[in-house]
Amino acid sequence: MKKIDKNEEAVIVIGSGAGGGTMVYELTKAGIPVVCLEAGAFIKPEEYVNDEWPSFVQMAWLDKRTTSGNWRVAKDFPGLPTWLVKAVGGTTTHWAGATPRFLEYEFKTQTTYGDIAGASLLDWPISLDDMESYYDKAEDAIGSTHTNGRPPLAANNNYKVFANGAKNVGYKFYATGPYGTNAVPYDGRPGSIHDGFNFQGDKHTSKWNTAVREIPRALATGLLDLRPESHVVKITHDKSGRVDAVLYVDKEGNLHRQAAKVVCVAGNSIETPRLLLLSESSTFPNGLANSSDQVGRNYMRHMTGSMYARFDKPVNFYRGETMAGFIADEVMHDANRGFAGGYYMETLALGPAFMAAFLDPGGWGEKFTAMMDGYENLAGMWLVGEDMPQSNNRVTLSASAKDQWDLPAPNVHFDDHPNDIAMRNYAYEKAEQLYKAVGAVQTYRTPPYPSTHNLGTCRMSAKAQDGVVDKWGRAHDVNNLFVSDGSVMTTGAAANPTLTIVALAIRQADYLASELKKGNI
Amino acid sequence: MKISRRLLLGSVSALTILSVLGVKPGHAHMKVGSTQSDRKLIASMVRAMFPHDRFPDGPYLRTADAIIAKANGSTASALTLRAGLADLKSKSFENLGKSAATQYLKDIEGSPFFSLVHGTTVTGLYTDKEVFRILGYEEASYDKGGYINRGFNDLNWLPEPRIEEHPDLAAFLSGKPKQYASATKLNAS
Ligand SMILES: Cc1cc2nc3c(=O)[nH]c(=O)nc-3n(C[C@H](O)[C@H](O)[C@H](O)COP(=O)(O)OP(=O)(O)OC[C@H]3O[C@@H](n4cnc5c(N)ncnc54)[C@H](O)[C@@H]3O)c2cc1C
Repeated sequence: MKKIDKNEEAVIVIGSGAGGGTMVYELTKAGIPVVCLEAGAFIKPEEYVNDEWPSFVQMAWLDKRTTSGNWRVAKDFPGLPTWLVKAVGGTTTHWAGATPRFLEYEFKTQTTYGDIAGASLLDWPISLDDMESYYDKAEDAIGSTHTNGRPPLAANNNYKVFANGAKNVGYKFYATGPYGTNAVPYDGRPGSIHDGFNFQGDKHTSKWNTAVREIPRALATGLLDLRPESHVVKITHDKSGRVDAVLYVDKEGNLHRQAAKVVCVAGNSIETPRLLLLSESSTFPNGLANSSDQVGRNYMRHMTGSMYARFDKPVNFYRGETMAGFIADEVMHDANRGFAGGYYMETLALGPAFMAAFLDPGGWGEKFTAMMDGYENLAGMWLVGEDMPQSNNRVTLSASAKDQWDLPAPNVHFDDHPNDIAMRNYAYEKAEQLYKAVGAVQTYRTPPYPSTHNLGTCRMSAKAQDGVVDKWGRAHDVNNLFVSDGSVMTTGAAANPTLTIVALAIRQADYLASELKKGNI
Repeated sequence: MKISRRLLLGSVSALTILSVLGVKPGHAHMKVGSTQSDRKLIASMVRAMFPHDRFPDGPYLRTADAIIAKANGSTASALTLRAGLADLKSKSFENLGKSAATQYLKDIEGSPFFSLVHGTTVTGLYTDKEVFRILGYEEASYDKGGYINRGFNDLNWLPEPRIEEHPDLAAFLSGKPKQYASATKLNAS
């Protein structure tokens, strides 16, 4: 592996998930040496565990965090606002694989929806046109089924219930994807053996994640200096305000300094704004890149909810690809429904361990045990839609809680917007109708899990005062600082975010590589 | 604070772990709930809370053990268990009928004792291997070759659905959204 001297001014990528892993590969492929600092360890597929809690403990981000706001997560999981992964590959190790694109108007929701009280909607500084070719590249990288000639995954049992229900209620747009897992061998990785455990890391490597594709390929270029178990705690700058180094802690707790030419932050939508806030200085007392006071604000987590249904016949919904089932009929904005934006329905299954923890946090008694007892006969789906950005939904530094390095822990504040609540209730009803249309004997409205989609805390904006980064993801305030993960999303759309995070990162890497080659940075 | 992997994996659950992260409980050397009858009493409380006719006593007793172990992890929770047990005994919980037992649980819902028992059960009872078997959950699949030849698609009480996208999907997704009424007004009402 390449060794880059700590005094050499390097291109540094912080984080190796969807955004960071993609940056690392695209830059090294373009001939640019990169230092990647990743807080987590390099856990290989053979070490992934087919068991829910042990896998969670193996990889989830469990550093101290606190919550506030009226969202139910703050009550049910006060110390666990998110489900994110600390490992090489980031949360793509645990992701499922749903890969829809944004719709054209979802890049301009302020224009499309109009002003909505309490929402800080803003049009993106880019359009679907700007993104189209990068979406193609991202789909090819991920190997999304149903796109560019790749075949669909076979139907598993959960999908059979879901799709028949969809048909019976008159939906048209159901399919087993688009999904980021190989139906057949592709890109040097095998086709799926329908082994489930998508949320625990795919031992068979049919599922795309940056630890099985981008990182190994970047290492193979000989240009990547990958430093796992390296937790960045501060980005420093010179007198002119340019970023000049990062400080990070290794697993023994020793502090290191790596000199920087460019820094790309991709620590996910909680850690990225936290790091910028931690990087305050006398020049930037409110944190780095935060002259707009937008760092950490407009935190989005998607409108979510789940619907589980019990039947009088077996389903065994945990077998096969967890989320390879898609309904798009409800995605199109239609203000007549009483809310702005739309949502997807996607198949979802949990093992009994997670089902017990998440079905109805705090729940007990016969209604609860009837569902658990009928475990073999359950079907399930996730509801995921656009949520409203709100200025006060934000990541801040806690005044009292500290992490393992004694640094202020992030507090994640979230209040549901009335639009989110209206959409969730509407979606629950539609999901109930769907399952009743195939004979459900019991249905259960499951509230949101700790957030798996974390977006918006360093948003892209045309004007510097409205956001944190420009249309390339470059900080408005700092010329050689980029944000390369889901934090840059101006609004969240209904789509699961990862395809867009990867497409944006490929686009940003193209831009950064050409700027570096031109000597503009 | 350094959390070792063994500590994390060795305890009952991640949620239990999360609840103790950042805390170094002070710890008196006294074991609460160590008698066979305490164990059975707690198991009966767990069964009243999470009734499954199909479950034998084993999983409930193992859950009771996990609760006792968890409670004895700190002085405060040991005292919680001690008081909770005393109350169960004074109410002759084991002899209460189903509806009286449920009522009792409703009355103490949200108390530290209830939360201790509930939280540990959610992650203890439903990770018990015997429970997995009874519920029909097959556990780890990769070492068995996945489900590709073991029934991932064996459901036969519904017709085989289409798996490909509908031919109109692309047109639908590139369509113009409907704006019959202003969402602003609808949200305000
Ligand atoms: C169970 C689950 C299912 C999901 N399913 C889907 C799906 O079907 N479709 C979809 O689109 N999305 C899905 N997601 C979401 C998806 O995983 C995320 O959107 C995506 O991984 C986010 O990419 P990111 O680059 O923003 O952050 P991450 O992938 O989380 O990567 C961030 C990385 O940065 C590292 N890091 C953070 N702070 C520091 C620091 N200070 N120093 C060094 N390193 C640091 C972290 O350890 C991590 O490796 C799912 C997520 C989960 C948990």
